[in-house]
Amino acid sequence: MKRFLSAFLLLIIFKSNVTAKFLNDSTAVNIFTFQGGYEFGSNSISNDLAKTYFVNGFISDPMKDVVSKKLCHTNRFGVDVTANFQFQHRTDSLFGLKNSYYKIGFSDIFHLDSKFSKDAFELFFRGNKEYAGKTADLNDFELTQLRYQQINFSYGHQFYQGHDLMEWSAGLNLNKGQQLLSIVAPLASIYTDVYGEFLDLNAKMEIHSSDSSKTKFDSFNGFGPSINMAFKWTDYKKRELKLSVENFGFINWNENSTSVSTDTSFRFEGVDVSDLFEFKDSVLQTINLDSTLVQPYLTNRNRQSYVTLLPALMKLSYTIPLENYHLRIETAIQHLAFANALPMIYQNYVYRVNRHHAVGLKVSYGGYSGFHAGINYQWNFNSWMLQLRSDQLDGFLMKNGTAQGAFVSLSKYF
Amino acid sequence: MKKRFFTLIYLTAFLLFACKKQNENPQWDVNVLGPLAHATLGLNNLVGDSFITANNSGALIIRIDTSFSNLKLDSVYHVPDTTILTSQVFPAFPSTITPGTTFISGNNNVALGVSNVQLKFANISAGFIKLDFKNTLQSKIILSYTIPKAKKNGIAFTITANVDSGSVTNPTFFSQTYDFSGYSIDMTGSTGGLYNTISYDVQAKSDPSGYTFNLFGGDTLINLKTSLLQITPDYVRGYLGQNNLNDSKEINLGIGGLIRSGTILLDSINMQFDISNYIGADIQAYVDHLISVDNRTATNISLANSTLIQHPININRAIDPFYASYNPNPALYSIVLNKNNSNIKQLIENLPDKLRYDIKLKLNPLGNISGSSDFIYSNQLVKTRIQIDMPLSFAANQLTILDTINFSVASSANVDAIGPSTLYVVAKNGFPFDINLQLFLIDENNIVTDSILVSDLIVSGTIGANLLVSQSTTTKIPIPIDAIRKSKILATKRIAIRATFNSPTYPLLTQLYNSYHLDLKLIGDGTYYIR
Repeated sequence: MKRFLSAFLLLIIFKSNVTAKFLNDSTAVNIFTFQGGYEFGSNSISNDLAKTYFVNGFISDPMKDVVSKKLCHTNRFGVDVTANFQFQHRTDSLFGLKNSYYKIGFSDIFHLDSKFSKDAFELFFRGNKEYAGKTADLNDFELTQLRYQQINFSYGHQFYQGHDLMEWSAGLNLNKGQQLLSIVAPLASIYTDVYGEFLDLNAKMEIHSSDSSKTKFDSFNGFGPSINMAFKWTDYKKRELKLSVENFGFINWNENSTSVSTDTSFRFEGVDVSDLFEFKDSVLQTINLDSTLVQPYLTNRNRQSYVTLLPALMKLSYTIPLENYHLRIETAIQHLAFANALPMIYQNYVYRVNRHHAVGLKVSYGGYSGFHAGINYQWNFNSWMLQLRSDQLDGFLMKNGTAQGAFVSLSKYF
Repeated sequence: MKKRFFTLIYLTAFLLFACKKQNENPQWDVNVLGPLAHATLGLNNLVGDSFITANNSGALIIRIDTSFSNLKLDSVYHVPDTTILTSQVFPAFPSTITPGTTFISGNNNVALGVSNVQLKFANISAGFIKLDFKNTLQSKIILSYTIPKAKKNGIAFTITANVDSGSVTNPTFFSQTYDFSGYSIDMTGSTGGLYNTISYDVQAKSDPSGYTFNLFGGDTLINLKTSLLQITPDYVRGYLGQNNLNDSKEINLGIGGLIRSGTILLDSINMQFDISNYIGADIQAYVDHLISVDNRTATNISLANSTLIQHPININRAIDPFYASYNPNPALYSIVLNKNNSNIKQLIENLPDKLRYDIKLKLNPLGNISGSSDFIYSNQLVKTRIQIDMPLSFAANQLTILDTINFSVASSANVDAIGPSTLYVVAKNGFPFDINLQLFLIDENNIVTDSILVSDLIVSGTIGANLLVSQSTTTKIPIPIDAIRKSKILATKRIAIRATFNSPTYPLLTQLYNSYHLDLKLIGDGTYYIR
């Protein structure tokens, strides 16, 4: 019902009758923009389970069953939630260059990605009982969760080369690390004895986490730079070729970060309670199984700084305008590096309804999931521009979909 | 425009509502199978490490080694608090006292109220001297108090004090207490021929920078009260007399304290009984009785041996390498009892929780034959030691032991998260006896709320040739855990453990080896709530 309502509301917006004209944004001097959105994608985790997990709901067996049917040898998922404020000022001349602009922005970014085996999911969500007498293969497990804030400074410049319009921009991001959890286990397995008498844990694993006592928005647990670079070539037929790299950089998490590494095998046979039967002593026994299981295994624990590469988006796109049809077709290949994602290709068809409205259809394949179709909508009125987009509309419509996202942007031109 | 605005508001509200957190954490259930706890129990767990030893073949022996001494030094001698008055009165004629005039009261003896002994020397480990001086003279008095034969680091005990002038009607008082510990005292008095006696000197001098004053006949020149308080020697020398000492008590023996019922049969047993005399005086010991006390069955068995029991035993004096060495060489009396010369086997088969003894000692039965060179250290008198070696070759018949331990679940979350489950106790028994093991949950009101293990038998290991265990036997006991039992576990403050042992080959005796043990594993099989 919720998915139906979402799609219905979007259709209502598309069909709204507007008479305002499109803003010629190339003439605007200042642009103030707010953007926000989220995106989830996976080749196996269903939207239903992911949403239930993130809203702290109860994950039922039918939800797990849906995922289990989709699980393959290597599974992925990624989550991005961002909020961004940005100010752009266009000037006739800056640093001696005409037709320049600069941007200043602030972003709050949450990113989570993981690569995991089929057994890892089954073990995590269903327990180890089904693995009695078997080994659960957890090899090649990776999970990274980042929360950081970013201040962005960018400079751009446009110039003509013959009849072709060239534009380049470069930006520096200063990133403040709020929270990190990174688990990398190239080798990991758990064997459950057929009668449950012991568990054999075998892992080569590293766990890094930021200062657990400081997790709030204003916590300053790390710092690092990242850069943005873009180049756009528009020929006289307004065909565009664009190459960009966004957010290529790192965060150096401070010395209060915790690092745990292990490269060993460990047999767990339960808590040793032999003292319980020391009939000569009266000892106080307290039982805390969690720590007893984990602590002997993860003994190599240090406090030290740690560097994480940030997810960086590399993108190459080519756009063809079909003016007679009020249509622009963008074909692109992109890759979110250092984030367990696969390369993605997509095509985006944008149809300009009139000066105020434009609608688009996007088809994509890759990233964290497979094939998806999305829609986008742009509405210009007076000096405002509203953009709504979902690259995975099927995620709202299909119950067992494995991707979902929504994006909203509101800009003010003056 | 208004319509679009409200559409946007509705969409935003819808999205926000869809993201509302339903709980504090994501929730799901998992089915777990795995070990929770394990224990490997040898006989040392059941009896105590200190009791168990093994010979070269690994055969286990219970060794009980207990020493006891209930003698008190007070029963030999005691130094009571003593107060003596030193007074010097001027002759019955008037006189003029010039500044710096000295009044001496020397070679004073004080006999301590010590009875039954004739002490000539003592090292004081604790005690005080209190001086009370009253001055009725019209001059400040410089008081000097010395015990010349009480020395610490070679320096005699000396006190000097100034006491302001006074009068008969309005005297001036001086009172001070001094630590007397660490002093060595020759107690032969000022002449050297006495005993239990301390000599001291008192000197009083009128203020050298004062004024001349008149004395009348009968005026008191020195009025001093000396108190010896809480004098405690740690070493004395002299003649200790022919005191009769008595040492009787009940002591815990260890092996029987945990046993609730049942009987055992033993193969053999040796008990060595030692009396060590650390006193520098001959003693005659008389062991009136040594009784195995089983309070569980109210059965007492007295040791029977004509050499030890109710028979005078003369023991020589200890030898001190040098005076006040604090490391005397004791004289030892020792006797070994076994099933051939005593009823010691029956004594131990009684599974005593206590041993009751009564030993009488007489000092210097031959009188003062040492020339008053007896000595005694306060912390080393007469020690009695019992060493029991009992090869663990025995047969148990419903031998039941019981102990309780404090217990609490560290966090209720550990138990709250457990859904319908079954715990399995997997017992691999390598002992040659069947075990019935039960854990009772006891709440804060000392009420047993549950029996954790049902009464399934942990079957003995397979007994092969020569009554040796050839392999362990595995027994799996299920324990269903439901909500009621969970709540009882949470409320548990103590756990009582009861184990009953039965030898399948009873009454044949079975030797126990250190390779025998009982492996217990607690395995969880059920639903765990991830919350």
